[in-house]
Amino acid sequence: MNNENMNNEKLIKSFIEAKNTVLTREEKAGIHGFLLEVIRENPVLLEKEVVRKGLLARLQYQRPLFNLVFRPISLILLGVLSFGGISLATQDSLPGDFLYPLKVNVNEELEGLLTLNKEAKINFEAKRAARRLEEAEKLDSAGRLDEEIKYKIESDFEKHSDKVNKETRKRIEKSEKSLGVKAVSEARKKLEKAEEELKKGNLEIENGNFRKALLLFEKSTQAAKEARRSIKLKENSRSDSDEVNENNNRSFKNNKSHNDD
Amino acid sequence: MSKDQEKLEKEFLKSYDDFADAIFRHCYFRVSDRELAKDLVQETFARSWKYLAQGKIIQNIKAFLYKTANNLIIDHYKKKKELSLDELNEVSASLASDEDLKIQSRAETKEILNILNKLKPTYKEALTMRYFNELSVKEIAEILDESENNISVRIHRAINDLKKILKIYE
Repeated sequence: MNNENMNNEKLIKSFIEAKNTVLTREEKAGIHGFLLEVIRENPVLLEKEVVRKGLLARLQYQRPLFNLVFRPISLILLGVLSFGGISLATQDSLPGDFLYPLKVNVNEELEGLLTLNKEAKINFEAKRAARRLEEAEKLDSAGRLDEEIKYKIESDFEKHSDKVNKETRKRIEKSEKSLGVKAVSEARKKLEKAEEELKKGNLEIENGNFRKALLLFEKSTQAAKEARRSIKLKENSRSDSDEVNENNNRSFKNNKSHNDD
Repeated sequence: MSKDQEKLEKEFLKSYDDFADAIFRHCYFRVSDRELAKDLVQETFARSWKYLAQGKIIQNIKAFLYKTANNLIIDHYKKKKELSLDELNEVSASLASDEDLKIQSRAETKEILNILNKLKPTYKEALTMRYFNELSVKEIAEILDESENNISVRIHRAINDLKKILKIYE
């Protein structure tokens, strides 16, 4: 026991001292010198060049009022008034493009609002998630996938993909209460598969393999769809048998009252 | 050079002074190779400058540096497969023995790396960021773009796994 404690203490001490892992003075100075070269070779763009290249992007960070009030109004107006021509260009836009906020914040949001059917809403969330991966893949191929955009795409993908499994889980839990756990066990297994495939997909995204992530995500949404279909079938067959029972009860009562007469 | 450019350059180099060691530690405990970790630090700051030079704004430089470093680490692992324990031993044996180093001994660091590499990658990441980089849960959540709750749970599980590993390790 004493040896055990001593080993643990030694390791804990090593962990604590590992916090002091730093660059040597020479190493730090060396990198500093390298960075001075980088700064010289990459001077800051002049203000007018920044304005020309990305006015909206710059304003997005620097003008909160514009961002909160005028930008959404202007984007909606832009979307409504020039639906035809701009819409096509918007659909193909990628993160970093001028029209991309219109695509995501207006077009997709409108599409979501106009999707009324619950199942269709879930499928739409899956479609949005898949689009994020396709966008990431295109940007990566074009060498345009920088750190900020990558994280934005990943978090958007997570937001939409989570909704798919979350909704499926809610339905399963609801059905378990009315039909019993055993009745929806198959659906639960499908959901577990969906979550497993999504987990693998997320790992591929972390590794930058967007095509593979997309295939795994498609498997995940398919499994979740099968889970929901399975619940629907169980619920339908339950309500069919309820109807049959009710009819039987009614005819029994009628026969009984007839006999009593 | 304009005043704005001068100011930006000064702020950037200050961020290098403030965060270079933390980013180095972060990279080192992920890749287990000192020379590679140095290259990653260099590349992290170089990319961050190029981002700023394009006129883009960085709201939180610390989070940006960690995110950039993380992406570089992921790219590194995309090119190579994860080190086996034998390869890891060779790599950690290449640690500099300069007296300026504040690590107590090569053997102990090798031991720590061996243990950390037994953890799941996401657990190792959360644990090293919390305890070696001394980032708060909130900061880690921002860097990894996850909820604080997820991060807290992950750190808690990482510690539990570490305890199991330490028991087996004796």
